[in-house]
Amino acid sequence: MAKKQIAIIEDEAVIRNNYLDYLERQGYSATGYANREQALAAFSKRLPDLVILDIGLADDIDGGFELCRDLRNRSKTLPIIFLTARDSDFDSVAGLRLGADDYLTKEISLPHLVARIAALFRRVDAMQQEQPSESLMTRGNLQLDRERLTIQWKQTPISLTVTEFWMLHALARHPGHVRSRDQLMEEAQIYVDKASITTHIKRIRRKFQQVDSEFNQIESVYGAGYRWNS
Amino acid sequence: MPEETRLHFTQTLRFKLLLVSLSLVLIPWAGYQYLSEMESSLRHAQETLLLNRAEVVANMLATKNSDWLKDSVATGETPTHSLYVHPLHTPPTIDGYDEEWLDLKSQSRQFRANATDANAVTLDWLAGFHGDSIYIMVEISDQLLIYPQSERALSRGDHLLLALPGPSGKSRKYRIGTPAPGWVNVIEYKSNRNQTAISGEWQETERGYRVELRIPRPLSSGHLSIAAVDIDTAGGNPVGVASTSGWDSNKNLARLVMPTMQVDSLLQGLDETSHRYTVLNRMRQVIGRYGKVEQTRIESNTLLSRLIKLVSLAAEEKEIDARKGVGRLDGPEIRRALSGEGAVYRYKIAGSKRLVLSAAHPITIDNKILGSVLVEQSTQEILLLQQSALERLLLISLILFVVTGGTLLLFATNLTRRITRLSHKYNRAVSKDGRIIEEVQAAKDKDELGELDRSFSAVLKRSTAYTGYLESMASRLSHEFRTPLAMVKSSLEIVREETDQSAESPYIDRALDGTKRLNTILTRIGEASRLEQSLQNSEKEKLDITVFCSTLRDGYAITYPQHEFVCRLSNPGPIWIYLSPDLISQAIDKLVANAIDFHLPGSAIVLEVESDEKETVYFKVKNQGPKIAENDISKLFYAMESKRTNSDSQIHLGLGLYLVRLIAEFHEGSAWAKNETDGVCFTLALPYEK
Repeated sequence: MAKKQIAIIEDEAVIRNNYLDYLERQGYSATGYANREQALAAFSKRLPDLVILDIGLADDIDGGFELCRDLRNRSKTLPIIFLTARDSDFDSVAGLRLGADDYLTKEISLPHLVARIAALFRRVDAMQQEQPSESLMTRGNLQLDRERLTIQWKQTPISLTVTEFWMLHALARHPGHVRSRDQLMEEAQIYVDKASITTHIKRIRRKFQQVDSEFNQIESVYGAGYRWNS
Repeated sequence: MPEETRLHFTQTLRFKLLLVSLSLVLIPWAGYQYLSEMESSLRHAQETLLLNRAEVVANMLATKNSDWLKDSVATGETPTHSLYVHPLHTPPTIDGYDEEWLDLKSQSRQFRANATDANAVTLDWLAGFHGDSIYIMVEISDQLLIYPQSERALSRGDHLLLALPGPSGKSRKYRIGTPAPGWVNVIEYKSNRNQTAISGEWQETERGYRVELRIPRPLSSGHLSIAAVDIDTAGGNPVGVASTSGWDSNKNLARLVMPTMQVDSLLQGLDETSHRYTVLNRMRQVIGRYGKVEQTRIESNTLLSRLIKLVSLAAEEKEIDARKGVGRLDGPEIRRALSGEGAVYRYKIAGSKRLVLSAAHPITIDNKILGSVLVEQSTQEILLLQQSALERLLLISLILFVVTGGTLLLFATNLTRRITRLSHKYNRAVSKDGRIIEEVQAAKDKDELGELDRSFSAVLKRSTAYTGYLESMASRLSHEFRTPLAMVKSSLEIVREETDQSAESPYIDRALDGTKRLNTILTRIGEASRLEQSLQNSEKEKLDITVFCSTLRDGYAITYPQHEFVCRLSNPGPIWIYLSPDLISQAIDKLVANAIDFHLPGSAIVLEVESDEKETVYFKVKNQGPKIAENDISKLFYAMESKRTNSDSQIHLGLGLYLVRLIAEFHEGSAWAKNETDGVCFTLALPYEK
């Protein structure tokens, strides 16, 4: 099997090279680009299999967002990960709206990053396979596919980011048990403050409620965390 | 907001401007000064005018035949009373009716038996002369007319007494009366003889009776006295006597002032209503008089005129008894006139407030001063003029004061309101701890206040920009730190990966630990600004805070299984309140985490909900343990204030309680800490509607 092509668009050379080195070691073929123009020039010839984007690219403050929009226009399925120093809710919401598969801050450790990349590739691969996945988990109306990182609520697919999927997975795995915010962070392999977890949970709830307005399975246990009620 | 200080009225701008408007009082004062100057110049003019008039009259008299002046000098006697006898052009018919006297009626003189008793008998004197006869008309007011039985007993009924000069200084007295209206009997006192030379007629009037008499001039020789004897019971004693003067001796008799026709017609030619002309001989005896000083005065009794009377200075003038009926006059101006020089004198009529200006001028014939002319006039006109001017002045000043004062007050009120609004606007714009919470729109007024507003707003904008810069500093710093930190971290991770198999190095792990902790710090720094962002899109929902409290207790029991939590509710019923449960639980999380850090091992952490009458719910988190230094309590809730003394491994930036405060303020409440007997109590006060 050919090596997966990963493109890293990051203006900081040291970080870019570190990521490139590490990804190469992990058996990927990684290419780095310092700005949008370089990346676009390369992508016009061939699209990579996965893109890791920084938002601010030198003087191009929102260059990452622009690039994300271009890429998403070209391919609906290309996995895109934002890896940025910006940690405001506003930026993460904007990034995810543009169709990114995940939004990570630079605190993430390289092994965690690689795990996410692997998960995304797994999802892409699983999508391409016709037969149903073997690692299905069903909790009432909820169906989680741990291979493809997809879920269905009452047979309706709901699109979640990788982070959101893992948070939901952590909740739904033990219905009725309270998961603290720290536990959720650990499961999703992200490091944010606890208030950001609240934002994530809210976003997950909203996505469910768009499909089913009576959805109330994720309960806030004030003082402790959250709980999946089946 | 800073303390709202309620200004006392005396400290307000309004009061100060009102004080300033008091300076308008100067207007009536200046007006008054002007008026009194005007009055004195008017008086001076009047004096000059009066003196001129006296001079003119004196010269006029001097050019006429002066015999009458020489004749009129009665030597040796100084009678104190005089009765004026008008010259008559035609002799009146003695009939007891007053048709012929009507012209002179206004100049009649009244004598009373008793000044105080209104019912007492009065005698109105009016006399005239023509040729050798003196005509006297007296009108007596008498409630009850008693006629004597016969002409022989006149003293037993109402009658008149006539006294004429007699021999050896004693007067000659007559009784004049009648048993019935008609011709009177004139009976001499002693001899009881009928005096036929004196004739008269008695007629009843509405108020009493009237007697018209004719007396030959030689009989009176210039002096007489007449009295009305009032008898109210037939044959009884007199109840009252009204007389023109005493009658026992010649000296007591009143002098008859009989100007010659010449003087009188001369004086009458001066058609005057407000002047009194008196011609005096060298002995200062009145030999001619015409006119009146008095004027019927309309006493205005308005509040304003009373006020003016209070204000206007009463000139200190010497009081002189009325010179009206006096036969011989005295006064500084008269003495000076008789010494050859015209003079003016001002006096006050005794018993009244009227001032009389009196000008005297000598009558000089052949360089000999034969007498003087006295012209008197009331200064009332000037006073009236002054008073009405004062009234107008006062009224105008008052209106002016009210209008100006009112305008100033309105203006001041407007200014005060604008200033207060300005002050409120900027107080609202900045929170107690100096954060700018509201953008301020400067007013467009084109005056100094508008200018002030604009400069305030400009200052605030600059301050906002600077604060914004400072506030974004933390997040920008954390953002800027992230990239180099990522460099270090990713590099370390690669190094660890490489060295993984061979030599396990503790240093790489330690370095990675350090980067992890740095990351936590950066996250915490951003927490406050992220919270402020999330406050803006937080939604409140209505929930029962008592249930919420027990939910929280259960939650904490799960989160901190090794600690004990107690939920205490002071109210049995539910308390419904609008709040954002996520934010409140976030705040309580901080307080509980704090309480766990400081609590006495083994003691329970208490969550308490209390509500009071003032529609406030108090959510308290209490723990037993060390107290907070009182000095620090007020500072606890400010950003970057940490009062932790123990140096544990955790990172304390002092943002926790600041976030609690932000959340409380988002709910329009407040947060504070207090030491209790055995520990510390943190309170979150939230308003709610009952």
